[in-house]
Amino acid sequence: MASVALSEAEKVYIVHGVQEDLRVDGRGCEDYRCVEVETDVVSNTSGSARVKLGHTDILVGVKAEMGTPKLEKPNEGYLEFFVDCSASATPEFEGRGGDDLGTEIANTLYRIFNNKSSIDLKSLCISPREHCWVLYVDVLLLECGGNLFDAISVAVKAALFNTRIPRVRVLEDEEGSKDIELSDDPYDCIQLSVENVPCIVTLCKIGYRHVVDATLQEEACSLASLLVSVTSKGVVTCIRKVGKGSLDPESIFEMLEVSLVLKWVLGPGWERLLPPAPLVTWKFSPFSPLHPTFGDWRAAGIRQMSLS
Amino acid sequence: MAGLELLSDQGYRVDGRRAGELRKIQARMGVFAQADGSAYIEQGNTKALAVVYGPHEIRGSRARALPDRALVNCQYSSATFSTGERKRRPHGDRKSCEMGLQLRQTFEAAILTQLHPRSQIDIYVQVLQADGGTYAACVNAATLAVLDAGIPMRDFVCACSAGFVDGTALADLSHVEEAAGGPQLALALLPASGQIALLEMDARLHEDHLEQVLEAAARASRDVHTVLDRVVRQHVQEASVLLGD
Repeated sequence: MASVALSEAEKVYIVHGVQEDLRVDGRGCEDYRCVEVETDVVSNTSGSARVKLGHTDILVGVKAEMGTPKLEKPNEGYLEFFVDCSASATPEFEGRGGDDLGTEIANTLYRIFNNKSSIDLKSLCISPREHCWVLYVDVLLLECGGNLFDAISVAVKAALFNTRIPRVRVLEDEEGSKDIELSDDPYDCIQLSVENVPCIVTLCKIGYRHVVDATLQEEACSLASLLVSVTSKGVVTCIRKVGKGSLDPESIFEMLEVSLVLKWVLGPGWERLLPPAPLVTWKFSPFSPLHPTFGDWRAAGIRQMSLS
Repeated sequence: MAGLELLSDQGYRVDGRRAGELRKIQARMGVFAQADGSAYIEQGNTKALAVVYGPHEIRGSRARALPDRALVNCQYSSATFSTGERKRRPHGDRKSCEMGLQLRQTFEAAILTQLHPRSQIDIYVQVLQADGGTYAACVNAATLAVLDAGIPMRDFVCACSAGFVDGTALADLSHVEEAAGGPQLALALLPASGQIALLEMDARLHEDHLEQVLEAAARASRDVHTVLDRVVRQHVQEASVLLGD
């Protein structure tokens, strides 16, 4: 993780504040920072999303390619995750410096999707044992401002929501050889249902209390964190404890309860604003020079959304 | 490419531009708060992001420190989803290393490195979407990022690519035009003095045509300079308004 140098006095200040339910930026212990989600940012992907959570900036691109199904699951397609920690986040990630963190995040993503219900993989199958869709989900970490896992999970969910896979037909001729035909209409595509895609809620233990959506400074004061991957229906798909400190069992159960409450924040909130119709695209680009400074993401989104 | 006319009889290119016309350029400085300097540029469909850290102490071995000037370190990385075909590795392959070296050469010519001896300036360029002219977009983004970081430079560094089709020089090639296999020239220019920081050409070109292509690239780079100058002035104006001047 990108490190930040904190003095002892700053650490004490943060820890004491958290005990009183008051964090440095004025939030309570269970408050998230302002989240901005934008889809369809990169045009030559099947789906893409950009998430800005405070100073954390994540860009995810999904590319759908045809491949052969895995031997043990011949009727399903699959997802491949790749995380690139770009050097623009911190100079320590230059060259191969960001590979460790990237592998850790990718492995966590594999684990949270490693169950039958998150994504309907059977819909990605074209013909059993021969052809299937492989979704390459590429995560690009542009800026690191703490709480990477939450932001990445929201970005992956938004990118999968935005993914449009072209509809294909398998034509079989007399000799038995199969030909795959893509439909001509660019709007004739399959959309994935992301209802059961989990989001990660990270709870960092600082002193005797736990904190949600920690900034870099708060992560430097915390010794242990719990990562809970939870869907909007309250199904927990993965729990991981990270950090060199230790957690006692009562606090783990407490944190689990908090994360189950918080699933409403990350889960269905923004989906209501992004209707599934493929004709609606976000024209809102924070990179546009005409764009005003960031405010509440919901207000900005509604102002700029247009039908194409 | 058979059947694809790069330059029509009326003088229009595949995307409707004229021979010497640039794609639309939109740029923004100061996109990231945590880096010393950052900038984002869109040239048509090519999107590039540049982030600058420095000048700071040399990371790694102190032996690399130069006693009289700063060390410029560049890394070029293109996202795996940036090209039509998915790229396996974002950086570390030969092309990215070569681009990094070219960027380094370009910026060592422009940055006043004598002012910061024994220190290091990092320039990290990330290509988010590649549609031709990636080197030029990277150089333009990096110029803005270096200016945003407040590092003194001799002049802007403006870059543009150029090609040659049917006796006409084309400026600012898109991916379709680059993939057609004709000659491609990449030029990085310091506009005020007209000095060339980097010149690179691929494929065969008759020497009689070289001057025409070079002139087209230089003119296009000067046009890019006009746009970047406007972006910088607007950014400074916004910043001074926020400071309450």
